[in-house]
Amino acid sequence: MTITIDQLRHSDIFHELTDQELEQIVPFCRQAAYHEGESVLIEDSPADWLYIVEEGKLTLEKKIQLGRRGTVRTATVGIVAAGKSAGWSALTPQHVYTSTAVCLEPTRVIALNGKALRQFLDDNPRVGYRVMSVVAGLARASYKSATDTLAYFVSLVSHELRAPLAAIESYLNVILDGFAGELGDKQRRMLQRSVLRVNDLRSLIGDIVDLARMRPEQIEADLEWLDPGEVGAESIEDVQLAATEKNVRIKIEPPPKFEKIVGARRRLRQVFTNLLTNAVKFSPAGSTVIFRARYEPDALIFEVEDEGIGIPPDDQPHIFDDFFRADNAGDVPGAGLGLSIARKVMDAHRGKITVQSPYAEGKTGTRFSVVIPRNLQTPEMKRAAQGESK
Amino acid sequence: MAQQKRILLVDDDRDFCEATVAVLETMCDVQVAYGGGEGLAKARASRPDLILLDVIMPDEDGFSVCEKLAADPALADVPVIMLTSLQDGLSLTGQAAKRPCVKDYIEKPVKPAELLKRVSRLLKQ
Repeated sequence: MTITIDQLRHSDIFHELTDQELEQIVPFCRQAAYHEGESVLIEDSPADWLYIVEEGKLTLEKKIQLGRRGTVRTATVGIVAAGKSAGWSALTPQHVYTSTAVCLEPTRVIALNGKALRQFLDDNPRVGYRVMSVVAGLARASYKSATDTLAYFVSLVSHELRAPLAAIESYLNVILDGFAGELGDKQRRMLQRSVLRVNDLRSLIGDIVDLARMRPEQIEADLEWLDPGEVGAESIEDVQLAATEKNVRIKIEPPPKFEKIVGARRRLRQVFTNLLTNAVKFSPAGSTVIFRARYEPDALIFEVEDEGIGIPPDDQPHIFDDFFRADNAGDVPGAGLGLSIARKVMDAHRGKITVQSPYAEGKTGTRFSVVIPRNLQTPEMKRAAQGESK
Repeated sequence: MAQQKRILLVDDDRDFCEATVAVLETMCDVQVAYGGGEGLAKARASRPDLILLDVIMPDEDGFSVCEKLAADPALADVPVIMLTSLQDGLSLTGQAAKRPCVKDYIEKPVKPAELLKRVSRLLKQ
């Protein structure tokens, strides 16, 4: 069946072209029909055709793999209904499809030969400019929709998931502290386990939200004078229950005296807690985790040492990547976000976080070092300094 | 015998309220409101000694309630503790600092010992 210019004019991509221009495009078109569930175009394959859906519906799917060894999952990133186009990659280098389009129902499409269309647009730059402007607009709208969805998702995760969790944790704390009657030993142990699992879930939700919206400038705005000893003590409190449960001892090696430094209090606590949590998680029962702090002329250094399984040398360059989990992490729970967040926090402090594994000859285990510069300024100090220089 | 102090707890999460009341009622009278509007009405009706106020509520958020309390001469000097989830804590300190009636903030979930300590401190003042 011959394609008419009307069929092209009603598409989202060619609606601005004149009849004469559309006439020139018709020869590059052919019609095709697909069954429900059939793929029209496949992610990562050469983008040879641009498609306009005439009837039916396509779902755009993308393979998503987080981290080097994460599970590959398929995510739906959009729906293409009648009159809409798919396969814009046929017009843009590298001419490789960035998603897979699968028919949600029996679907009829117009397929435009990408190579011929590109040649036509090259030869007719005015038409080419208009078509590519439309494609840019469609891509921009699609991107905005994706970022709006992410922002909505993050706000949903941030409040709607944490609020019920806060209620559960409050109940557990209140029951464990004896405000709802006496508890038997078995009940107490089970509730303590529940607290640990809920803590893990809360951390995971926090990590996902942080990953999506943590910005260095926000951390810099939170810089204040703080007692690093207090922050360290809070972190120990965060992991004490998990350590006790696992019979892991946390040994503290503080400096002779803690001097105040400038830092983002909650973020530093998050870094120390993440490191201590990992150390406890990967330590054998009966072992010791050392939490050490020492001052150097320009920096305060915190170290967390464990006697755990260590990190394979091949994995060490990747441990600060989002969602990365080392090969030997096994069944130990975690999403692979704690260290990447710690690194982002330390970058915002213009500090460093490094790893040594093993850190001593003939031993297993890992040492993480966190270097916090001592010359950081609070926002007030910065403003005052700027005022003086004016 | 001295009259027991009265606390008004304003939070739309009924489960969170039940857990918190179980702790607070060991030391004072507790009244509960499950929204900002109801909280304001109960505060005006009974003038509590202290208000525990959630930040995010569907009908009227905690900051808006705070402003209305501050504008009411009968309630302007009632101390308020804001309740928030852990991760909002930092941004809240900045906002809370701008409102004179907010004397403290407590991060959810409730830790009984800490809650009692903070509440007692304000009730003694």
